[in-house]
Amino acid sequence: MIAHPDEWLSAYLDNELSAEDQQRIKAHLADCEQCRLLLEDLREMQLQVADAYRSVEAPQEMEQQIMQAIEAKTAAQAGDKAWFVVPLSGILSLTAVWLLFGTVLFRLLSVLFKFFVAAIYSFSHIAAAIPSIWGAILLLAISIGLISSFSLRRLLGNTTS
Amino acid sequence: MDEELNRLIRDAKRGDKDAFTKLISLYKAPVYRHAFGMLGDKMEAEDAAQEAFIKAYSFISRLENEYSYSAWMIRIVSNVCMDRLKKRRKERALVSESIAEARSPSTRDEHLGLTVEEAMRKLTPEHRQVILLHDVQGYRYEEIADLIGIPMGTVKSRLNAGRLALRNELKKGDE
Repeated sequence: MIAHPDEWLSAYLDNELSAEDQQRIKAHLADCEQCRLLLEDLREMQLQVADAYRSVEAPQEMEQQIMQAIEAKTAAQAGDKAWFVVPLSGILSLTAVWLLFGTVLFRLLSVLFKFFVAAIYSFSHIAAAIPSIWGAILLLAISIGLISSFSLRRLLGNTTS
Repeated sequence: MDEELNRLIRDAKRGDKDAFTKLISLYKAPVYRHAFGMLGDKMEAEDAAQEAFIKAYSFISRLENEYSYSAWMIRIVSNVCMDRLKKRRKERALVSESIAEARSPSTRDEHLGLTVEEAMRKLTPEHRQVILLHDVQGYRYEEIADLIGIPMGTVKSRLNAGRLALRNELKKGDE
């Protein structure tokens, strides 16, 4: 008699052995009660496993949930692929505006720049001629700062209380 | 039925969403069942099944043989579950042992008999995988070897070891 063929019993049960091995195990089982009991245990357990899981049902709404997830993923991927559309359209629009109104815009910007320089120049001259104007500006800035902090504190006090 | 199924697969490969929805209806039960068997949790099984079908939708145009759709789908969900279990193992390694034990179902009274599902959860993922593929999904050894990419001899020994381990767990509960 061969030693207990524990490692073969599972494949014997599943009919996955060669005809020769199948016959050999069958002959052993005829003489060995211990192996017959083990085989019976394995057979019963196989049925229990099949019963336990074959009764498990998938959720009913699964198709809808999966298709919604697929739609969302497809939309996100389409969005990712079109990332360049916004900056590209911005650049194209700016180029078109520059080509159509470039010279007018350039003139307008240069006039504005000249006006700004002239305004700074005049203000510095006025401030130099009347020194008290600096004092007035300083006073005005301090008052605005104080009023702002007072209003802010009051506002925060109202919202927290 | 086979002709109808092949037509659905061909339509789904061309991007027909209605055809793919019908394929989900046809295969959601075995896919969800396998995920539940592997993960042991209904919510996580639902997530894994959903992830598997989303992957299938992305790659169905590359499916060469329409006749192997069923095995292809089970292979995807099996891989998704194995990845999730690896991630779970890493996360559990970070949690201190006492917290992990407190959360584990093993804290139940060991003298009470374990159900098949509880005993299955105590096996290694590799043992669970072959038992589910053979005893629940009904694949033969050669198909399992092809499905999970291991030699047929390994399927044979893994299934045998898995069953003996499951028997031990069930016996432990009975003692």
